[in-house]
Amino acid sequence: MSDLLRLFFVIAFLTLGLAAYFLVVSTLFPNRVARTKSAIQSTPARSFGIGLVNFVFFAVIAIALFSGAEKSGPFIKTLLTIPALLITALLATMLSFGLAGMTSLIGERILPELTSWRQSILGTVCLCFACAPPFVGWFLLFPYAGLVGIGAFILGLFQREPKS
Amino acid sequence: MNHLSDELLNEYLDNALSNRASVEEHLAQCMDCAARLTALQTLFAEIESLPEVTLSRDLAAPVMLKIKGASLSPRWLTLTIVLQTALALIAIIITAPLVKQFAASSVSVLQPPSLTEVFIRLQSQWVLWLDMLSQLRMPVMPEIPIIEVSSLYFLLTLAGVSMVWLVGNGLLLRNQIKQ
Repeated sequence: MSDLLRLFFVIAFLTLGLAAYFLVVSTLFPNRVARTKSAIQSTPARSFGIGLVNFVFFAVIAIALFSGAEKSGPFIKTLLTIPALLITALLATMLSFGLAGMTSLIGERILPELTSWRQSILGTVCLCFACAPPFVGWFLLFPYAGLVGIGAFILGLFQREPKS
Repeated sequence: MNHLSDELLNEYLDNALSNRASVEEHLAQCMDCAARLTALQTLFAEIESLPEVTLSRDLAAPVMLKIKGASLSPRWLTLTIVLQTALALIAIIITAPLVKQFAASSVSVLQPPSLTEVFIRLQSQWVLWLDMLSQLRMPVMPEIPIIEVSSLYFLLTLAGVSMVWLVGNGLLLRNQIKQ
């Protein structure tokens, strides 16, 4: 029972932190998040494909660099670790924007009458708890949401500003 | 010669004029007004030929909700609430002496906890919470696997992944890049 309670607390704290995180991301970069959200809405399958291709590529490169750094001397280790960390940071950034757009879209679809920040919080809570169940949440829903998010972020980079 | 106003020309186009004949007579003589009419006709034709644009966010639901929320509650509901409040007040007044009597007999039995006891209980609960939280185990980050492969395989893998990346992105982002 106490393990279950502990798990619940971990998920609850994580949800709280992530809700604030996505809210801040949406507030600081509203255009970027809006474009990501629009890409998820209009082309989810393409977003997933682009997300998968790019995630695999960058993850392989990062693992290869980290792995190479482990086996090398101090100088080469530093030389390889820096790009590896940069690639990891790039992946984390893409994932952050992607999930911020995803949570906003989920919130909007569940309760369209709410304000945008409430929709973002609602989306984060729903996504966090939906990704918590073992196996289906960990290995299906979360990778899907993450990869669609990454792909939508990349697609959003190529979207043009609407002509005024 | 007085030219026709924009308002008159718009009404002429909307077939909302009673004296169309006089306007048509003026248009036959005045090239300026005829040109303005043609320009207006072209503009309206262009507007009508524009494709239907769907809104990215449907505002109908929130607006309808606000309208419903703003509408006044029906009269019978207001009267019922007033009646219920009055009945509740009467009930309180009638039962007040009985409640007071019951409370007087019960309070002597019940001993409210002292402030110190409350503090001690709160503190023990707080310690229990802290103890429980201190036992939280954060998930251990997986170690990066050290892949023992030859340089040739390593380079081939990198080349393969790069090819997949280039082809995949090229195919999937084709339309976006063209735009």
